[in-house]
Amino acid sequence: MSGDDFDVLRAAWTADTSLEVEVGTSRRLWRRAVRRMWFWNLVDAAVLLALTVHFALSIMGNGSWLAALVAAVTVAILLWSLRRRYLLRSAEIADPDAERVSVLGAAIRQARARVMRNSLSLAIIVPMFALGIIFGRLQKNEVARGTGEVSGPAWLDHPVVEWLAIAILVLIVAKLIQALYRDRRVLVHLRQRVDEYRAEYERDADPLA
Amino acid sequence: MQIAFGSRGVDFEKVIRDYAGLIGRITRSFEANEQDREDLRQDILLALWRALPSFRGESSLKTFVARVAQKRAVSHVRRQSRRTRTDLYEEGSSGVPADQEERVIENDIKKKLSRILSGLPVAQRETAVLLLEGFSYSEIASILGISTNAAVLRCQRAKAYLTSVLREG
Repeated sequence: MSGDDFDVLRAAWTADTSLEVEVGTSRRLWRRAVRRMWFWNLVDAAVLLALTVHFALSIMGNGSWLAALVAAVTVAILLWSLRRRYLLRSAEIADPDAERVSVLGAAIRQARARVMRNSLSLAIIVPMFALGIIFGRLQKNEVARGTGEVSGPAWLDHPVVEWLAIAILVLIVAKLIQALYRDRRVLVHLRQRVDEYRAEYERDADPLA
Repeated sequence: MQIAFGSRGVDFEKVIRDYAGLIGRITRSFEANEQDREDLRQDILLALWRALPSFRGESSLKTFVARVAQKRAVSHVRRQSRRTRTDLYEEGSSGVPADQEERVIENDIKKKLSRILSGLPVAQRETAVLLLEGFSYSEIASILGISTNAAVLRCQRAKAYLTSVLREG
């Protein structure tokens, strides 16, 4: 097949049989993506604001001007940081100088970090739940010793309720562990793929140099 | 939603009108499943929308669009890599009258090309797609973030592979 034949391939490939449909679909998807992005950005900012104000008031005291000031400054810094990250990410997407090998290197580092976070979650999930139960039990005993009675409805102390709670807790922990293991398999697989992809790029990075 | 970007005032509606075809073809070469294709296209459009303010005109807008699209496509493949690749470009002949022989042949080649591309490793696939899109070696090098020599070598390989496989039928 000659160069002319390749031009035929190229012409077939770039022939747009349904450009109007492509444009319509793209426009719809772009609008949807932007709406979703703004929605989640707003949710993020609202949650951040609520949490910061709550913590500032808890620490510094209700109705204090100092608390309000600390909350305002913290929120301003966090919002600035979010905006900065957003702009940096946008610039990174378009970076014309980024070599593919270094882009993939960064992707591999991110993938490794995700695998490590996943391993950490798997390692601490059972001890964390166990500690939660122990501290809950200790607190209950402490309250009972201090006042002679445990606060809350009496039916909570019924053995059936306790066993039911334990069964639900075990189920939740088991499901969480299962989900984490599933994530781990995907993450390890993805990391291997990026590794292979980078190796492929490195092999012919500059063959004639 | 008419939005102008940066000092150059790039109109995103116009970008969509001019490059929807290019973006569509890139997504088709990377994703087999219709739903995955739509996800990828959405990802690319959002990335472009965010990246356009930093477009300084060092390259053509088409090169810029292709660079962002390829980067997103590669990361999308990374996320979706567990899914199988089947039925690529099933809708390829939609809207084409059967009596237009030239169009039918063109679509036949297009379907074959899509099938071949879907079987290629990612690095080879992105080179092949850019070559088919008519980018020059230096543009391909810039889009993929590799040296021009590497781009030339890859393009030669891709061209030889595509033509030989298509010749074999």
